[in-house]
Amino acid sequence: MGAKVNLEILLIIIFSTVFLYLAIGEPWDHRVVHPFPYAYGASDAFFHQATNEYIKNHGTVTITPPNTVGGYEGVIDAHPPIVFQLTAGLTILSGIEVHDTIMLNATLFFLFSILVLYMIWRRSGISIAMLALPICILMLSGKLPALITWGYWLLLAGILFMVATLWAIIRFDLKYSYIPIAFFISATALAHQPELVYAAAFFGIFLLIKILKEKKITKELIKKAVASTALGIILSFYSLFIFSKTFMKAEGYRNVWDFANANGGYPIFNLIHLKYVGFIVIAGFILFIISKKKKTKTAASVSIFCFLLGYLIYLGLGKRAYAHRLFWIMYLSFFVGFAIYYVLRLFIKKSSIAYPFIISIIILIVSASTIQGNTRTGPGVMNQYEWNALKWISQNTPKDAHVFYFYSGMVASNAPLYNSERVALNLHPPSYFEGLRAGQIKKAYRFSIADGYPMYLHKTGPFSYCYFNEELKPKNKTVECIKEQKPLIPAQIEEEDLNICEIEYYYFPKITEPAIAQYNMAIRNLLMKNDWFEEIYSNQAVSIIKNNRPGVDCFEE
Amino acid sequence: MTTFLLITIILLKIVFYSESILTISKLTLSIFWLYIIPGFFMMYLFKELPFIERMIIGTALGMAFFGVIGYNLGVFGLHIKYQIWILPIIAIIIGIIALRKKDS
Repeated sequence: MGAKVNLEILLIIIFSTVFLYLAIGEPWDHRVVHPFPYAYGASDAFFHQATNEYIKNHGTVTITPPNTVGGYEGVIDAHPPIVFQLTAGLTILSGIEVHDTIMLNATLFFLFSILVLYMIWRRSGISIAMLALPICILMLSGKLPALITWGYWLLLAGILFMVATLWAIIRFDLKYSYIPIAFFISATALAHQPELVYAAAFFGIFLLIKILKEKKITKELIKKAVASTALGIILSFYSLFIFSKTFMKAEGYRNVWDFANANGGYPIFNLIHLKYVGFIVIAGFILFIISKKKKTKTAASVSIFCFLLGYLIYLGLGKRAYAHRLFWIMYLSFFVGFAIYYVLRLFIKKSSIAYPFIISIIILIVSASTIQGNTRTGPGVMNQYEWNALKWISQNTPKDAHVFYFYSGMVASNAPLYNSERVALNLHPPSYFEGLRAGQIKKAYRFSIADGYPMYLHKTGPFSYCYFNEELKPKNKTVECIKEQKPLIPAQIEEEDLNICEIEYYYFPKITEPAIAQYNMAIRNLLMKNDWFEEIYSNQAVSIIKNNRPGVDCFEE
Repeated sequence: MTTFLLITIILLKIVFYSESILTISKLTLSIFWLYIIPGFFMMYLFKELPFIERMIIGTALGMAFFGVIGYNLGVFGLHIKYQIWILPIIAIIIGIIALRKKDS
């Protein structure tokens, strides 16, 4: 018995090490501390990082950074809060920056969602679970590492707490099961709301099947079901209340019926992407049906339930269902483990944990070798120079400064600019490229405010709210808080192009595609001909200049 | 628990071999204090479960506990810099009470 436990724990430790090595060690050049957000591949990652930085400094997960919502103060943070809460805590305790701890937390969510599933598969037998585990390393194959580097961190947290809720539900018969059910279901609500719906659906189905099987409704069942639900609601009430006023209004039921585009920005993943794993899964499923082992039914049910979530796109749920396809490998790993176990038992009659251990290690080595190199990303979208420039802005410009960003790949996205902690406005690409193609510096360009919020909810009392009118500030500094939210329209600084002489702070990227860099510098140099313009910051990649007389004609014809 | 802490430090040093052992140790201790220890203690409510299950599920439970309770305390204004000390202690107390109840 002791040896069995030791080999199992050893396998889990080895798997966890290999997973972390590939998932976060490789992208991060095997360091924990980085001078800027490292291996960040997309805007979402920067959004969560910048918001979390503000929250860590603010001390509570309530208000969103003003510069991300047009400068409005007191806008309630509408995003599910648990990732921000956990990251702020880990940052303060460890002293490691948010841009590192948030990605590390996301990786831990990913790893532990696999390990929690392992615990569910383990109910069918330790050998099956051990044989299922190593295939989960393929969750880092192909485009799947984007789950970490592109910032799908709320989803990863949602998946972890959803599978943890499933674990707690199938452990319903434990005396205090209502406690983990309540905590995990409320954590799911605070992580990513679609997974709350799926977890709740599983709970309902589970209770229904239990009642039908036992042909009675016991007092114990009612007590636990009510306690789990009541406690879960209490713990997640406020967050869900905010959700009902924000994202549920903006998104809610997706009503997406274009199945070809149901992925909604996620990497494409269909059954064909399972490759040889898919064949083993099918074999495992057939063997499961044939074998009729009662002990395996619960694990198989969880596996099938999670697998089917990916097909809810056919109920119009769009990307909220599609996202679960990205986790098919780990959801279906049970059937892989079962297939291998079944074949193993044909040849080895002696029950020993050593055989599954050895086979699992072999599978892990072979699978990991196919991934080696796949997760190396380099520094990502950000670089030290632009990071230094953004941080300089945050420390050396007035709090109400508006900074206008001329074009480059990095600043074309909104979220990296949130790190300046100032309202950012970036160039409308067609407006910019029109001038570039004509070889002309225009007197006016179109800018739009860098924000990404569906609505600006503001608290006026314990349970009373209004919505800041996003068509006003920062256009004319008027603040109006209205009872009902207007349909989402990204706030525009102007209906028409903005005269560049009206700008106070200009950010010019120097290191980008040559034609774009040249054009940026041409605009900059033209402005600098006026003696009331000064360069206030410069490094190899960025020039920031200040207009000390905004509104005065600065354009030499 | 100490053995597991040391194993985790070694594991993370393998993963982040270019990082200093001091940073790795600080990070490991932080993860243990915030997630693993509180969760493990709360899993004493389910002492009948095997150690490995209490460890893994306990870590997820520790994350859920800090995340959910911490968020709600934050709504009432309690700064996270206090929560990181108060909440793990509360979870440990819950675990000790559960352990004593089971022993008695």
